[in-house]
Amino acid sequence: MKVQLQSDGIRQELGQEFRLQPCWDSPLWSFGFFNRSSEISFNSIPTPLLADLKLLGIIHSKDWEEIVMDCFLSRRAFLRLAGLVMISTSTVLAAACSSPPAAPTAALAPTTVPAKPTVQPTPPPQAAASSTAASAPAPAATGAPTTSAVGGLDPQLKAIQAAAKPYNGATLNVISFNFPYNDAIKAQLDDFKSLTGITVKLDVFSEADMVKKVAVELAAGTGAYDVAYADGGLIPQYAQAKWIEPLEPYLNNPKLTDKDALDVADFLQAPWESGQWNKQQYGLPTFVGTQLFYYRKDILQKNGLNPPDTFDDLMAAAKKINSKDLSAFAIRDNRDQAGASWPFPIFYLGYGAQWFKSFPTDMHPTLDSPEGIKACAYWADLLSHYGIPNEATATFDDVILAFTQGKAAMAIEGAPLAAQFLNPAKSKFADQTGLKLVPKGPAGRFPPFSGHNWSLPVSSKQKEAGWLFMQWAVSRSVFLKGSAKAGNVAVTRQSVWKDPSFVKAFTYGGQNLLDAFNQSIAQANAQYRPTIPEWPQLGDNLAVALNEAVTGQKTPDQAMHDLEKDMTALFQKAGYYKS
Amino acid sequence: MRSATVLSANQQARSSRRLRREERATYFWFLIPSLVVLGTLSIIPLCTTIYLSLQNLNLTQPFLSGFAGLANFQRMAADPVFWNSIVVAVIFILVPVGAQMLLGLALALLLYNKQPIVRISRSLFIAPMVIPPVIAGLIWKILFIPNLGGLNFFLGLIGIAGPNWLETPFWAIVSICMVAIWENTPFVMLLVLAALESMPEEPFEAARVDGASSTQTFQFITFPQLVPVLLVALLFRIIDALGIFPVIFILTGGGPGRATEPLNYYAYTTGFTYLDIGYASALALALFVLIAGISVAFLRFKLRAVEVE
Repeated sequence: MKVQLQSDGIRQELGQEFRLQPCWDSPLWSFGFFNRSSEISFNSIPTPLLADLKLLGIIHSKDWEEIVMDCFLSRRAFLRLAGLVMISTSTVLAAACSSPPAAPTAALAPTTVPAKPTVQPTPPPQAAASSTAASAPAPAATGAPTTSAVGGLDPQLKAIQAAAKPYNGATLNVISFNFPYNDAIKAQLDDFKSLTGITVKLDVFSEADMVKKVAVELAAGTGAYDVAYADGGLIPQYAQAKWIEPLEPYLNNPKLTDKDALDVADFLQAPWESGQWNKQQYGLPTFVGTQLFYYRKDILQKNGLNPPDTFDDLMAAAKKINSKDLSAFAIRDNRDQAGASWPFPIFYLGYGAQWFKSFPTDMHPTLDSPEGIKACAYWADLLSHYGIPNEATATFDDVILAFTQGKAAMAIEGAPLAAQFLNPAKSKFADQTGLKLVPKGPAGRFPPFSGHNWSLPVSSKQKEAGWLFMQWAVSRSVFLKGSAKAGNVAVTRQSVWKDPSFVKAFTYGGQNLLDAFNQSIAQANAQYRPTIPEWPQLGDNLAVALNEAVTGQKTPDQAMHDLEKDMTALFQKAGYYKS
Repeated sequence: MRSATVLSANQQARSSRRLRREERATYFWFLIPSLVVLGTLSIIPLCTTIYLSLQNLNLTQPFLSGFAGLANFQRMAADPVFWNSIVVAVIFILVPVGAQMLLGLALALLLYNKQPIVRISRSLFIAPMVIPPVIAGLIWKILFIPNLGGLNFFLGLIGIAGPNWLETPFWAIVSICMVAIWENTPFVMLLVLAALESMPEEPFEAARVDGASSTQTFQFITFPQLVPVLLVALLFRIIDALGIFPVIFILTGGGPGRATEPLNYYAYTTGFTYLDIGYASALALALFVLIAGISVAFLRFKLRAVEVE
């Protein structure tokens, strides 16, 4: 501590009365910054004492200037410096965060896979990681592709490999949601990389989040995704908004597509149509969803009933079975277009109602036709009297829970979810569960249908590589391998459905799920839900109307009339007709 | 190398003038980070929302885009769903906030005690506030399942037949209010407890000496001192109650029908499900005006109330 006073005697004289404290012993320590004159220093010496000292002639003012703060950074200067540092770091962080995000989900790290060709289309069910099973597979039924010889590639994969040569080393960003098909693809991304040299970064979200994220990204046109997953019934919306590319140029380009290998005829009819809009193809089908009717064999037997096949049978059975402890029926009714609007058209179309006067020429909706009101009344009656107590907010989780816990005797739920109903580990009554097609009405049987697709965003910067990925992801061998690895049953290629290993894997304890599934899809109609861009609004409002009818807030009559009014106005605004 | 400076009185006077200028510069530099954050996260989106609400913008119908003037607001005024959502939002403000204030006050008075067991219970009571609202929604969703859930089970043990929570409009609103109250009462309780702990002892001693009963003590000494804190808590709760989203999203999704669809949820569905951005912006603006109006009115009332004291 440097203190220069006139004489040392002062310190001795004043003794304990004052002590010059070093600058950082005080509570507000401060440093000096080459700027003596503007220092504010704490002052441990009270000013009156200083004045006294001056008066006493002990300390001359000249001396005061000698007592310098030798520290080099004043408090204010330090704070200024800290502020600048904070601002600069925050701007740097902001700039870093605003750049396009890297794929958040950890895509499979591009491991160096040994350079072996991928397996044949019929792997043994216990296949571990990519085995090179060399056994010649048994010839499948008619329509089966020419399975390659030992050690060779499936012709579809070969064609993709040949077309992918110019795109070696590319990286694709793909978005999908969390379900078995996605698990199947994720597990085979390494194979894709070794086949084509293209790395794929897969972003996985929940279904609702993915739909919103795709909408936002495609609308913004950022090019964040090279291939986008289009959920059921959304291709028209994306196509009209010009967010996705029509695929004809890619299908007809021999450099990118070997049409024989792709084998469009192998796709099931309804899923293939689900990727179309205005007679143009916009998607490659990945997933076909339908619903089945599940029932408890023991309860039906106890009541002396056969599994109901018509709407009237169903209502009669429900009346008989329903009791305080056991609800007769469980079905989704939550207020969302993937909720009540998913199974309702079974009854709506089954009673003979139409969505529009004449699709696609006359787009006036006919939601409050007598048949439509009858369907709504049937739905409200069945659910409010014989449904599970939490019908109004029931999602598929609630339906599965009610059925597997024995609180509901019958249910209509998704076919891919059959594993939940028939698996003894998941359901207390798995061995008593039977399944069949959904009931039919006076106008016929209309099993639910939903087709998902891969689509190609307009804003993608790597469309050709993306197209190759799309082809690969819906190829025969990928579906088969995915079924073995991830239990994905809802595939869209007929040859896969007929494949023996596939059939064997999905036969649960005698129940032929695949038969029912297949029949359901064969009877399915791509217009089960109208393929228009305004489907989300129509579906949501329809679900609200059904909800209101079930809870008694409105009569079925009133609910459907109001819905008709709203939808007429909506379609008019969308330009389908003038009045 | 440390030493201390000692300044003369003259020097001090001169440097304090200089200081004020430099201090002001320092303050300005220090405000920059928060201004930047406030600007990018609040002001810019607000201006963008105002701009978008004057447009006809539906993401899936790009051919319809264009300047719409006040058409969105006219549509809003004629939209029965909009008025329903305002009614629902007001219900979700009045009922839960009122109950939270009463319960929070009662709990704070109950827990204002130095015994160790009470101090431990305080931490337990704060737990609902700490849980993220989405988790709270999921927990209560399971509890609310009529025949398989916890709530009706426990009610059944006492002999009450529990209603179908979430299934009818009335019970759905009651259920959501219950969850909101459960979640947010600890907030009010904390504020009131803090105020209780900081109250001066003397008036209470004087009251004891004068022989005042506990009710009179509360009425004339405790409560008047709590009023400013209660008003602050009330303002916070009202603004927060207008933003009730995760619980509704998880529990009812706006249903049954549209019984639990407040304004912010309606704006969300319009914007993100129907992709009608122009109309959704108009709805969001309406929500902003509602919140701003309530806050301004409230602050005026608060100032007057505090002045009167």
